[in-house]
Amino acid sequence: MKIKINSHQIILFIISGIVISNQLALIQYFAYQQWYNFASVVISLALFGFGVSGLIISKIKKETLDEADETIQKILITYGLYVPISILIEKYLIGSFDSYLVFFDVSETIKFFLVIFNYSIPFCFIAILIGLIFTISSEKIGTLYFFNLIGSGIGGILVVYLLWLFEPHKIYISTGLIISLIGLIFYLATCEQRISLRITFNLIVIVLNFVLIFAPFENIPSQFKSLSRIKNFPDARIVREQFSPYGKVEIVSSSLLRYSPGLTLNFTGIVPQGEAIFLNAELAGFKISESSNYDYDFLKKSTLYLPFLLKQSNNALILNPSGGVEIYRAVISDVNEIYVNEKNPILFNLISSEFARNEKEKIKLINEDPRIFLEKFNSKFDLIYHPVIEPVGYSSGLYSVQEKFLFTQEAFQKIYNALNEDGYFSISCYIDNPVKTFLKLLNTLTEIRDSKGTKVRPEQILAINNWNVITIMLKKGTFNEDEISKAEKFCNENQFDILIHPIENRMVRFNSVIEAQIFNLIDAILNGKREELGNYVFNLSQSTDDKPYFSNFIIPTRFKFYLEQISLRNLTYSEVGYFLIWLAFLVLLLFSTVLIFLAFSLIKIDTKKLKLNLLVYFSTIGLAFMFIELSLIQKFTLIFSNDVFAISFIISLLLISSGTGSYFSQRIFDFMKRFQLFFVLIIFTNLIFLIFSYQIVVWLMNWNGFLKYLFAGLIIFPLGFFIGIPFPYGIRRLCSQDKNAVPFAWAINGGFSVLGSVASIILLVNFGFNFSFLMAITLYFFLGIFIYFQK
Amino acid sequence: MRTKFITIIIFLLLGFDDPYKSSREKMVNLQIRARGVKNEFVLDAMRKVPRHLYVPKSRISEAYNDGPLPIGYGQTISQPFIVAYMTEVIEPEKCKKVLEIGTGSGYQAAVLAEIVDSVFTIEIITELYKEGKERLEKLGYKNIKVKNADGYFGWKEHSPFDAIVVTAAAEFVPPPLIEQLKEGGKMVIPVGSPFYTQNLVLIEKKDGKIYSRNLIPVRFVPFVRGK
Repeated sequence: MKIKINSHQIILFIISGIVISNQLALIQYFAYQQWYNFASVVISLALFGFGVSGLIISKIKKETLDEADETIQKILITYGLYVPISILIEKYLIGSFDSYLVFFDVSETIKFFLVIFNYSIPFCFIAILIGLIFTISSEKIGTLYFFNLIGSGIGGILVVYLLWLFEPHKIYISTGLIISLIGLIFYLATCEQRISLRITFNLIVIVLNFVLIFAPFENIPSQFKSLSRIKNFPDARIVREQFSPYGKVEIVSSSLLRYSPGLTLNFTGIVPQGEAIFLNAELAGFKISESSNYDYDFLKKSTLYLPFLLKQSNNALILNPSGGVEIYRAVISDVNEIYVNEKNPILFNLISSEFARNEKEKIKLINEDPRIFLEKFNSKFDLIYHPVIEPVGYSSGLYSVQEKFLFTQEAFQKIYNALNEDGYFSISCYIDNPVKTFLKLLNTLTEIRDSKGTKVRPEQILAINNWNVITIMLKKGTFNEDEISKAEKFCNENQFDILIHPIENRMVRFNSVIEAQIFNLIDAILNGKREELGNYVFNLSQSTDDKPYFSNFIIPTRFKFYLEQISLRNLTYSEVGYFLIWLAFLVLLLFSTVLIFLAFSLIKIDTKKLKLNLLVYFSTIGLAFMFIELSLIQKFTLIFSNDVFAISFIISLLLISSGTGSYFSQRIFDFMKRFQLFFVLIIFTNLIFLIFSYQIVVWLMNWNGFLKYLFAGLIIFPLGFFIGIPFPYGIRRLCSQDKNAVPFAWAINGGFSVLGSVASIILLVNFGFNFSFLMAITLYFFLGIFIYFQK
Repeated sequence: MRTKFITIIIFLLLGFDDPYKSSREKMVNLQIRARGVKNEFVLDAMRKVPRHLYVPKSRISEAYNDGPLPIGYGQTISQPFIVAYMTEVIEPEKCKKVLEIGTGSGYQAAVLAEIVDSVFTIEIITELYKEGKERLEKLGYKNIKVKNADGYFGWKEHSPFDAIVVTAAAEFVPPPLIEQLKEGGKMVIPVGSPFYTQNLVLIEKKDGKIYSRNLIPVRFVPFVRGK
């Protein structure tokens, strides 16, 4: 008996960790293969698996429960078998879908659907196991919760460490190996009459997992990602690759690789060859080859050189330096102190090694997120410089749900505040078509206020362009005659145009690449007539810390127009990335509806009224919990400056805190006597967090390492503690009324949690953190009232 | 497959040596002329060049569709309209000499060669270079010269060129190409990802200065997955 209980606990501990590990590994897997959009989809996959498990548990017969060890062993081995098979199914049977094509090619849409389904199955097995162990050992529920929580917490931490060492799909397959090994050990430990066929099968599964971990299996990025294109160059080869929770960094060498954004068309010199740096298969920077014999003249013949030319800066801060090439621009301009912010440790080390010998005394490298650096340090700079944002070409909104906290209104204000008097902020972007990135940048810049609260004036802004790049400069103070004359001369020599002149009309002479309508919009922004932006086809309003989705340009009221553009196969206006989230929502809505329908039709409960009440109760707590979880992930991405850290931290901590809450729920109830009071506590704690969220975020950003995580944990714990109470409390009540209703509740909660996770992303992107969080509080409020009237 | 073969035989017996002629005519009228390409030389060239011979065998049935097609090595044969439009904007004439960067299947070079005096085309991918060269030679194009090299450096020995057609989107225009463009010459370059063209930029050299101009925003037709 003793060994049985211990083995259940160990299994629970491991599989709880594996739930989180799998989610994070798959998020990274899809981040490389596809785009960022899939983080929320992966979380939904896990939840869907949990929803389905409720149904399956409800159908498990009593005899099966009596032979629990046998069932557990079977599930363990099935999981171990399905994990490698799921990879093989995707690779050889379904094939990877392509985000770009899911709206244009039915076969890609079907693949998208099947891939989501395929990867939800392992989660379903784990959820059945958890449910089963909880059911058969319900008398030890407290101990089981303990193992469940510790397993989740350690799994979340361990996977972040493992992501430094292994490719995400290997971590995912490793879970199959671990579980099949445990399955074998469990079988040997618990079965009295061992069947050699079963042992052989188990061993085959172990070998299959083992082989696949070491098989030269490659996660191939979408053909539309920049790495895929460059790999087709004849002499292209990956000279270095490294994994981390920040994503996979690859350095590609090819004699064809040259990088010089904003270069004048009349440049006659040599643009040196180099190595391209990719992060998750997208171009992240460029490193000039050490063997290249060249001068740096080409760096001076670019629109990006303007801020260095206008004035000799004593110190400069370079944000997101794109490998080493942008630092050279500051070096050749004789800037005395060059501060460089690079948050990705791998890219940071690359830059460090490149500048270890050259210009060592001048360059101060800081391995810190630029936004956090600006928050923490009060240094002032003559120049804050950001190279070209967004990749060349067009991302078609594939980054529309990615948080970009460096391009928010608050971040730009911080940058402005960090400038010395007469200092510059310079940022560049490609000219997209229709123009939107530049307009959004300009709109954000012009909302900056000085210490007296006065908004930036047109005399403080200067923008120049070549045929495909715009460089915008904002000065803390007005541009003087000397600066303007230097800029005009620079533009004349290089045949650039002055798109925004601080005192005169724009000078478009060489590059007729921007339409007249865009000029009107620029003037409207500069003159504070923002209402005119409302007529534009894209949303140009500033992104904020509440809604940090800089790359989202969709206006929800123009949904019909965008959908028409998709049906016309016109990518220019269709912003595929944003609509992928909606497609994921629809797919998961379909899954959830089927799940809920099955729950209604297959699970027999005594009264119809109870069924309806359960639907309201468990659907609401499912939705509300996910709204809180996803909203917190968004906020903590800013604090931890990494989405994987934020996801791992929030999911683990909410599991731990809500599990603790559920563990103590009965004792708290015995003390308080009224169930509605739980909802008062939930609403109170969450409202307090919401009201002080800005101050909390700023305060946490100022801490480092362990203390940051500790304080963040202490703040989040009470939220999770109280929101964790309604679910187990409801289940416990059901157990005493109608045990059949438990799987029904489990399935309903799972189904709505799936919807909640994607719905939350839609709310966050369109309405922001505050709204999404408030929605969760409102749901808890109405549920409290509902319960009050239900007595 | 068998039906297709019989159809071809019947066409041959009836004297129709090109079963795709009507597809080409449709392509020209519906995809090209309807979208505003008016230059008769260009329209004739598009009618004349058998596009189905420039696509992989497995894609022949899609050769006259309104979209780009994969030709292997991560490259595409451009949408027919893009080929026609790029040809029209450089104002091709009999006496002109054109440089093309990115031979690919050789289709754009063939269309140009139907109109201009000589076409010089550069392909970086060796396999594509070999296939393209062989195809163009087989089809009898004597006025096309193909070179396997990095397009960045252009083709100095034959410069200056009246026009340069760059078929792959670039983040910046290689300086040697500007140098090799004749005074008054035109260069057309696509902007966007290599898989779809969002707009085309025309670069002109006038009085020693370089001017750029946005052409039409081009309707995107998504790329079909490579096999």
